[in-house]
Amino acid sequence: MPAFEGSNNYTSKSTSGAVVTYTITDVRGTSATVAVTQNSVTGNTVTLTGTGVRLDAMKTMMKLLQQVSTGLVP
Amino acid sequence: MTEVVFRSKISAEGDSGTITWPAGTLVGDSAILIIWGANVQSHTGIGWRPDFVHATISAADVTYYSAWSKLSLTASDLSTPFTYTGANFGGYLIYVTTPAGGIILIDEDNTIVPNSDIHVIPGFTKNATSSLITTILVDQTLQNNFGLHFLVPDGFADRGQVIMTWFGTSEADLASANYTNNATMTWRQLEFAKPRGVTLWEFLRKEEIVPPPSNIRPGISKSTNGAVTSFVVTDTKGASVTMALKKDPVLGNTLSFSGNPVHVSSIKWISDLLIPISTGLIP
Repeated sequence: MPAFEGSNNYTSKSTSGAVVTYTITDVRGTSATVAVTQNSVTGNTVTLTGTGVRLDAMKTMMKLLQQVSTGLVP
Repeated sequence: MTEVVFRSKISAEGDSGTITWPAGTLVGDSAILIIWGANVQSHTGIGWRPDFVHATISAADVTYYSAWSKLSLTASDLSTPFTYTGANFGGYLIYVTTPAGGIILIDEDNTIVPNSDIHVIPGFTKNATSSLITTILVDQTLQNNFGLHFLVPDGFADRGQVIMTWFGTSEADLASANYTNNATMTWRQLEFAKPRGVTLWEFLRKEEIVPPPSNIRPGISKSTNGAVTSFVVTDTKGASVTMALKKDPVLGNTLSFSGNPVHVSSIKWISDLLIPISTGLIP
């Protein structure tokens, strides 16, 4: 399992087909999602969504994106 | 990222008194201090305290070994060198790295291990910003001036070894690019049945903070509309994601995300951009 999981209580992960979605929730309960669509031919793509997420959640977001960019997750 | 510059200083046998820093040591550098000696259970004058990595072994017979690390040296640390009055037949080592990216204690085995001539340090997965891996072994020897007391792990360079009346130490480091994740490292002692201490540290590079110009790099643009500053990151295929930073002094700043799926190769740009955003460096 990726090292990212379990490192933050405000993060969850779900998988649907080739799409792995991470949900990061700030201290007020507002969430951002990072959806990684796996494609071994053209390369993975990432979709970011979320509205009004406090910056306290960004450290977790950064960690996750770093791992996504280096291929550690999903 | 900037590679770590490594400086070390090794004492002569029985050195005591004021210990000065290696030439070129700067405020903000990371440092490790190790002392060892015979028939010593304590020392004085060390200014570093328990918020730093601290490992010791001590035995009733002969050995004392102690190690500290400090992530960021202060001006006071540099202007007020510590004193060391502890050991017979002992000495110290100082390792300083700059810039300070971090120090991780990977493994330590600071115990009395008799009747063994080998120590295996378990492999580990490097940090993404790993720059140096340093192993240190402090070993009491059975004979005076025995010569080489132990061999450094395979693939490691022997950076320095001091032979003292009873103690020897060796220190090795290896650029992380040459270290295979999860590969074990094996120290071979040429003597045995005496106390020893083994410690493995990983030094990290310092991440560069992305500066705040309107176009941080090709593919990133910035615009401001009232309290909202938007950053648009466009990947090499033209897909883009927008991150809108809304300044709210009461409830706190927030960030909103929207846009299309972007190629994974552009994700590091976004990650890097989040650093100055989340720390308030921009806008």
